[in-house]
Amino acid sequence: MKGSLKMTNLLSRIRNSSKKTKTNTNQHRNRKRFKLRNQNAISIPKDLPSPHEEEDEEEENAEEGFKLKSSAPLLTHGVQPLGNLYLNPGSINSRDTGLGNLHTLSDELVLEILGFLDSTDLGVLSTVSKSFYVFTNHEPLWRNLVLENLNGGFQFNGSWKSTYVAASYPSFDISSNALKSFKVRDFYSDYLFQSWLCANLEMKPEWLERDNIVRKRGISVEEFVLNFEEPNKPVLLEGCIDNWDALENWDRDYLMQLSGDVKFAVGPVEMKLGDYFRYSDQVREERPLYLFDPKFAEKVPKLGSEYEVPVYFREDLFGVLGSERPDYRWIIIGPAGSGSSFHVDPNSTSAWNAVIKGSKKWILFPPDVIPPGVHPSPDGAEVASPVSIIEWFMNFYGATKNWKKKPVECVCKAGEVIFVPNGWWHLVINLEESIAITQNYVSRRNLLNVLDFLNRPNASTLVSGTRDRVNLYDKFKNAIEASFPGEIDELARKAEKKIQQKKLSFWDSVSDSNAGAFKFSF
Amino acid sequence: MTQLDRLSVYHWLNAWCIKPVGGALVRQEPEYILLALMGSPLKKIMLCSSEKEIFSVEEQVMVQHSVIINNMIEDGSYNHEESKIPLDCVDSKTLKKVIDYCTHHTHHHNDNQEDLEAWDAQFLNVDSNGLYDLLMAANYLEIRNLLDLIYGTIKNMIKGKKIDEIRRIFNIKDHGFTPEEEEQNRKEYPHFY
Repeated sequence: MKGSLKMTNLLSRIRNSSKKTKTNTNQHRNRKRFKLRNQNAISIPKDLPSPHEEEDEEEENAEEGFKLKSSAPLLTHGVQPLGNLYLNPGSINSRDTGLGNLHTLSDELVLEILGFLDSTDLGVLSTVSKSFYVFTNHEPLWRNLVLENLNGGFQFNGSWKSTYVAASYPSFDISSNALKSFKVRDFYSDYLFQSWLCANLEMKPEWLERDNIVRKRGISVEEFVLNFEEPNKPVLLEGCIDNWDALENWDRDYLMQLSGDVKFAVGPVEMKLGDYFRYSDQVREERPLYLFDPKFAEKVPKLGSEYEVPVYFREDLFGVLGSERPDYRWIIIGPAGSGSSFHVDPNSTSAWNAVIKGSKKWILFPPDVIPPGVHPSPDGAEVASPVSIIEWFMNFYGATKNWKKKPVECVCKAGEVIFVPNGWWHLVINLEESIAITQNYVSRRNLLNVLDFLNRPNASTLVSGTRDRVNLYDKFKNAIEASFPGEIDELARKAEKKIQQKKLSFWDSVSDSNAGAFKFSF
Repeated sequence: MTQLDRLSVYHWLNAWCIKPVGGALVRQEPEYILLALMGSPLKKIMLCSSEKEIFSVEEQVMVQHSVIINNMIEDGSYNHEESKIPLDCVDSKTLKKVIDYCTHHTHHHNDNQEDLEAWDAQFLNVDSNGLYDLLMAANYLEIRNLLDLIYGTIKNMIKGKKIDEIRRIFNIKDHGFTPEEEEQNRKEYPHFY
């Protein structure tokens, strides 16, 4: 009988743990991770099978259970959430005994300390105590070591630790006993448990249910501009990339054949496409590395030739800057679970995103509604949204059900294009391995916004996608004047007129409703 | 009075700081006396430890070092007349140390590197639990240079040491490995022991 982990009622009890404290100090903290607030214990069978044994069946609890990814390894090293400790009177937390004097530090601080150590030090520590053994095996530590020391030139080997050891000590026999896992008992840690959980959770079906975006097929450009671009509303457009060669050709084999050895931008490093696929096939982590390359058409011109900008988005005024324009088009490839957490697109531009293979779940909030769990700094330069995508769904998605201003949501499938209006917050998660193309652009409708944005005093930190942040405003403005003389002034005049009209009607309505009261006139 | 004169008066007064009687314990810094004489205020803020002891510190000093306190002052949530900043996670002993660190580094930032490093080394000469309390306080208040200093120190406590030494340094009495597991470790990593 295979040991089966019952996540009975586990996560239905996890509530949004935003602790409201009276002191002001907490408002200003960059929350590192939302702590698990587990009121009930999780029943974990006493006889844990060897950690090598894998869950072959998907575990699903009938009521509110969460699905673990099939073949999620059993709780790595037997880490349990803190809730379990409190319900086992007399139980000692081996985390604390094994850390010695360091036990007063939080998990995050212990991991920070470990982040300063090299692989040898981590190796030594892993034999100092069982507790350190668990901590030093925390995969993100080894991920950092790989990315810092090997850049993108690594062959993923099942885990980051294994990858690092294989690359750094090639004579070391990976398959030997040396890397055999130890079993751990009585180790309670919310941080490490939740870390494992987020790495292994599948998307809950109810998170995918709501699909309330407006869908249109075959509309004219004028209709698009009038109904969506002008009023700044998102829309999902069907059928407008049917003629793309990419839609027909692009799959993993084709891309490998064309560019298997080309290095693409993946997070902080550049990796060969083949190496990236090797990683994305095996990886199971909370924030998988995402292939997101702004120079794909320059690197592989054939790729650039197999797609074209859909007819709705052809007016792109940043084009006047020629080769000096900021990054504007990306190829996006990633496994299930990869994606982007909440952000607003740079430089106040609008965007379109076309899925060529796979499918993506989108959640969008309008510019004036900040998504729950997201804390932008006052100048907008930073977003303290440290929650990963899965963590956001676990802790915050439920809250949106009760809101009047619900987010716009959809699942975008192959062949569909989503329009993301400027300033809108959005979160995207790949539901399966996906290939997509996205572009950011500036049309006359949001030209003034973009100019305003680039002209801001803190442009040097906010403007993105170009090395020349400070001068971009001048360059762009001059280039527009050169190609479209008088355009900016014309648009400014129209905008001013609109504001005046709005003002006029407001005052009119006010004075009308106060019949007999004193009336304004201009 | 010129800046130089103020400094010399400051040093003179340092030897004669007056503590008020009764009421809450307030550390009377010589700046208070100085400002009473000079009439130009050096702005102070009040920090309150978990033991309800109140510490008065130059605002400049804390704002320069602690991101959290800097943000609070900047967004106006701290009212100079009335408020004190409650730091429930930091006890008095640790808070005093933190304030010492920040004050020294603000007033001596022009000193040469070696002197500062020597002072830092002396500063961290505390018992082991004091070190981790300091780390937690520096983390809570987000004092980057103090954090880096402490991380560096702890890193050196671990680097290059053998297992038995590390267990001794961190006072790990029960390592938690079974005899078989300990055996396995010894076999595979004899050079760690």
